[in-house]
Amino acid sequence: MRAIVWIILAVWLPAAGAWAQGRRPMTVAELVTYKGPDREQMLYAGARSEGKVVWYTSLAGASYKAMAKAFENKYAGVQVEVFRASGSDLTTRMIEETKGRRNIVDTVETTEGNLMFMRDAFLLRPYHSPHFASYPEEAKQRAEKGLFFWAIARESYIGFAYNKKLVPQAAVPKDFSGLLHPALKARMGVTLDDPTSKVIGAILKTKGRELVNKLKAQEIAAHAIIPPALLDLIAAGEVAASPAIFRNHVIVAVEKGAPVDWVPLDLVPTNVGGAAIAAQPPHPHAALLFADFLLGPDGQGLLEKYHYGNAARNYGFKRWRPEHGSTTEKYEKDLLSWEKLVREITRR
Amino acid sequence: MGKAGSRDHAQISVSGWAAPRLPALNPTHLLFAFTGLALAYLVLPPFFFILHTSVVVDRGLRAGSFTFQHFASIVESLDDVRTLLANSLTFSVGSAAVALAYGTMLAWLAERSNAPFRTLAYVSAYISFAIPGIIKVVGWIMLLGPKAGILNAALAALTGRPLLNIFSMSGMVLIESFLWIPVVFLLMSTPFRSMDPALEEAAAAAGSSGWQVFRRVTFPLALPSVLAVLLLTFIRSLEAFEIPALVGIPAGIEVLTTKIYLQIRGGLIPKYGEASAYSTILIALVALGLYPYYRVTSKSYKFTTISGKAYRPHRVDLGRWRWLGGCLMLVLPLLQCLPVAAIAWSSLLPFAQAPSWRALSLVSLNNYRTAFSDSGIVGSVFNSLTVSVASATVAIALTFVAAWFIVRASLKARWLLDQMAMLPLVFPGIVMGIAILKMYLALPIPVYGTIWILVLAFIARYLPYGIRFSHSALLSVHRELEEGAMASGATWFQMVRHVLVPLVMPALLAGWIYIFLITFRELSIALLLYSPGSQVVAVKIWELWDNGHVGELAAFSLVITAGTVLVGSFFVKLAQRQGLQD
Repeated sequence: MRAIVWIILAVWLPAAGAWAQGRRPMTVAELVTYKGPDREQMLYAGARSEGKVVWYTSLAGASYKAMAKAFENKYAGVQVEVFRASGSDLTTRMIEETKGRRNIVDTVETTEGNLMFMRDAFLLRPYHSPHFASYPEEAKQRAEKGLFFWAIARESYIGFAYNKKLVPQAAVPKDFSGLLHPALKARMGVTLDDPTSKVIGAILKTKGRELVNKLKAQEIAAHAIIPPALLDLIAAGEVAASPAIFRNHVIVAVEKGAPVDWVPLDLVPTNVGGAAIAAQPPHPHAALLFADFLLGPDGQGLLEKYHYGNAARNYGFKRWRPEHGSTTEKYEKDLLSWEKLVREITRR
Repeated sequence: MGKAGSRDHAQISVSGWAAPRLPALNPTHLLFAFTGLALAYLVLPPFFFILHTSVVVDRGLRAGSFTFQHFASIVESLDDVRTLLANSLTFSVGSAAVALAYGTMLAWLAERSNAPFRTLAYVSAYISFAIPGIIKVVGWIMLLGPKAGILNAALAALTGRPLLNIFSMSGMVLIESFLWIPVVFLLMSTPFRSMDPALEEAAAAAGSSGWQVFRRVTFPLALPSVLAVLLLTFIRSLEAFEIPALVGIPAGIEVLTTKIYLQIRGGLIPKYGEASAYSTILIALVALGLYPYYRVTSKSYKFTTISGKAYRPHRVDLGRWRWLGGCLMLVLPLLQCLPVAAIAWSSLLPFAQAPSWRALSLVSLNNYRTAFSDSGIVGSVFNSLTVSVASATVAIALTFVAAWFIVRASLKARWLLDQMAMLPLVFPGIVMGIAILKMYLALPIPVYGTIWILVLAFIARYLPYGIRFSHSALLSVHRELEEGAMASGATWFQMVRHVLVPLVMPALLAGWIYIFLITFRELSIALLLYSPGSQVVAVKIWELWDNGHVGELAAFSLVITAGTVLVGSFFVKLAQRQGLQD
């Protein structure tokens, strides 16, 4: 009998040891914490058998298509299915899909305010990425057990854009007070969306309510279009300037020869987008592999090519993320109050 | 006036319908039941979701509990109700009136006079549907912008005064009516085309002047169509968004839709509860608006213009005014060409600018190359074609049958079919998108994530247009033709196939093409419902707009517009070859 036990142990122990050594995470909960040195190979092998990753993103222009293509080139056999929409539409869609018990999305990339909303609605799963280490602490949203909900994958900077033929150099503001220059009266326009609201928030933070009130006398026109479309009106000469235009859009317009320029003011409101994992990703290996790719040198290099900023880099102006350090409720309340002010100062 | 008769006499008595006893089941009853159920399936669940969303808390710990807060928020936000209402009414009444007056006049000129350029007017009317509204508005801003508008700048150089500041109420009304004139023109063409000239000739022979003939014969015969079109344009202008947003807001003119849009878009995610509450208010207003229309058109026999009598087409000779009529006809293509030309110009440039020698040196096809560099475009075009053909075909077929029951059946509940078909008119696109998204996530019907969810959404969305095209066409057909066919032994389906459909086919085709073209570029619904793999052209257009690439957007839209018109023309030719056109 003893001999039989020894034989069984002799056969079982080495097998058990080998199994334990090569054991791979089996559940999503195990996967998101996996830090093994073979992480990339393990995720790729899993992703290949899953076949695809479903990516919800708010990235604009050709950048997200280039990102998907670059990922597919690097990880052959894993297809990227992209759904591109605004942060609020992505949030709405994910809420409804979750209510309908449909797990469709794997990886999410959208603006931080909406990620905060998703986190509070339990739509996101904290995870580990080897690239988190290279991001500053304020560019990550910490969760429990050393995991993070997201890290900031890209930044866009909001500042003053103007038509160089219509605005004399002396009238180009250096700070928010410069927006009161008489040469800018009745010649500025703003869009009725987040970037303008954030500029108002920045003015309140740096100069106070008085300056916001004074802006009403500048007869700024509101436009129900998006900032790059307003930039088109600036390039065409229909509007002379705007204090709420993205730097990356102006860089592209300048490259095309448009007579426009961009300057940062006292504080540069910064639109940021983070990379996160859905709470129940149907393709978990691919989800993590794609998030790693976004946050890693490949994804970051590609976003830089499309003029997105990087959280770890200094651009020579003071950045401000209004949602950072705030609760979702407080941030939304602030946003609503700034939106109200925008309408007050632009109303005729 | 057409043959008078009692109301009962004017409606086909399908056996058993007028009687209080339960009807015996026959194919007509089954068809009625099927039509009713199909309309109910398409319209009522989104309607229910909208109603439900309007009275429940949509966020936070109390999510799902009952509330009137969304209605209260609308009332609270309408702090200057009087101004908002006055602006909304001025805008919608003004736009509807201008579009109706001009569109009706053009329809009469095209169908009842010998004015030249008729074909050109028709072609341009169809083309207008294929051009995204946002493109046309951007085009008009490029032309009539107060500071850099091309037309304004040119005229100011010549006369010292700009033509028109588009950022004003008159600018809003004018541009909105420009968008509606082609629709009015096509809708009003049907009654004028099918009108028996003998009625007018009799009036003229009795000594009536041209104006008296128009006032006492022509216009009363066209009245149901006039009312239907007035109602349609008024309601759509009331809930119009693109022009109030792009033109009204910079002008400092707020209307109800822009006010509420600004309310619901605030914060991190849209407040769909308020949007739904707004929709229910609009639904009530539209139901009120439909009532007088039913009152006027209930005596359908009054409006028959196609009877069993042979009549020859007759056109009024305008004499020396013929070329004035021709000039008026040319306005329609001109209204389409001007903004398209402005857009075509910007599609050739790296950034927006007025025409100049320097600008000419920058002209290139780069925007076309960039816009079409996406490998997914072929797939999205194929998806859009499938979605638009399927949506237009089903919507027109369904509304044609529904309209037949509304016009002919003596069943009292027939008005329900019309109400159901008209209901989506007041669903804001984005709210309807959410409602359909929720519906198919909840129902075990596997369409979520496929293009078929878009087809179902578009059929529901464009039922009101289908029903108006079909309804006014059927009103003009005298029942004696159908009775004659059935008395000769034809079954109901044979009568429909060989008598009714050929008679109303021009109107049905107009409706089909309208829905086909408009669904090809429908945006608000497609944005929420498309999925990876089911991307459609409209989403691509939105992406370009959202990225602010007006040049690329212009290039893409122009090519897609040309392609859509070609495909639309192909289907018309195909229908004509099948002998379906009159």
